[in-house]
Amino acid sequence: MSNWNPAVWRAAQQIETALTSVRSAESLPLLPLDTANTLRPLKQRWESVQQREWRVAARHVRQTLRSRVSALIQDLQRFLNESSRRAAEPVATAGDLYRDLIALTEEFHDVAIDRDERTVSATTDWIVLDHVDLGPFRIVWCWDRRDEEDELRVIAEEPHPAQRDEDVPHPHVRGESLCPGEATVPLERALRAGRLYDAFLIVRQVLQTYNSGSAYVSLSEWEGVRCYGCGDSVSDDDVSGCESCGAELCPDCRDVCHVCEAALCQTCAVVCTGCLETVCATCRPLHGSRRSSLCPACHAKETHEVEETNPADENPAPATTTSVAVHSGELGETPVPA
Amino acid sequence: MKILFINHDGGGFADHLEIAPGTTVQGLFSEKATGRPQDYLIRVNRQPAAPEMVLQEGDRVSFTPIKIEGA
Repeated sequence: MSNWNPAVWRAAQQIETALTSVRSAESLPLLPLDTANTLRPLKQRWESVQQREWRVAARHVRQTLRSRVSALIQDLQRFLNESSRRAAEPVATAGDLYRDLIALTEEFHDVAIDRDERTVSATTDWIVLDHVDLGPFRIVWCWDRRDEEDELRVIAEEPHPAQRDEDVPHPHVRGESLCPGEATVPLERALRAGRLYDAFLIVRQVLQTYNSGSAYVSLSEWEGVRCYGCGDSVSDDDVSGCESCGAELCPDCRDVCHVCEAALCQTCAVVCTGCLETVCATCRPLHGSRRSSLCPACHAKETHEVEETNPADENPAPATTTSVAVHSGELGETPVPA
Repeated sequence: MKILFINHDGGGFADHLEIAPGTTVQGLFSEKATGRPQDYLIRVNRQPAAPEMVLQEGDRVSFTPIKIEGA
């Protein structure tokens, strides 16, 4: 058993005071006094209309009274239910907190209590998820910032953030905020009850678990996107996609169609056999049923040259064959030249 | 006998529990938790505990899943 630590004990007392004051403020749900306060004037109104024998008005006041009383009964029942639930969870005593703080030193590195900043902090081991080294994280809890956004912070000690977003040091941390996911409710309950040991353990287990289905940045893209051409990682700012097949490319592997300026990968980029410039499939003219190996300009030039070389004749030679339609499904005769 | 039992699985549970004398950690786990003990951090009085450990009056027992998915 470790020796008595007076500094930790004083911190435990300070935390207990903070938790107790917060719990006192929280412990009583709202009493439905506003609803109750509307009943007295309604009763006076009832007595007044009864005296004057205003039957229609009396019926109306009676209905309003019944409706208000019914609402008050529901509000009172809600008060009973809520006040009973809030009292159920035991709150940590200074002794519990002391034992939690001492136990944290056996689970974590560099446990520190800053009574001026009102924080308890501890550092995890190195976190490695799916072979991506994310470094250790410092968990910092501020007992003075109960229910505020920065009550609990997670700080990367040796940051290795996602290449596409430097604000994401861990798949489930943005900035210094952990997104606890399925730990949200048990973590909140632990902090509310002052079970610091439990709360820190829960946070650590979230940091050590990778949920690929719900990450700020997936680990497969942690180092950036892989270039389809050379395999190097590319940042989001530099990556471009082949407009023909969608492959992701680094600036060095990106080619451009000289006709339409579409970005192309090495597979989709074709070199025009005429001018040796890059051309995409869409810009290459059709040649029969296939795409020409020429760009539009070279294809047009070649077509023009062919027409000039083989112009159409004015007096064509007589036909030497008989053109007869042959019906494949019929038995018939046709003259065959010798 | 009474212990403080804390289970961080699902929505979490933390309350005092009456258990039979001689109940072991394994026995409590079989009764109160799902899955395998090796999938949990099991602590008795904030210390790692063996499955065969016999629980005592006033013990603080917690089960924390090793894998807890963030979002």
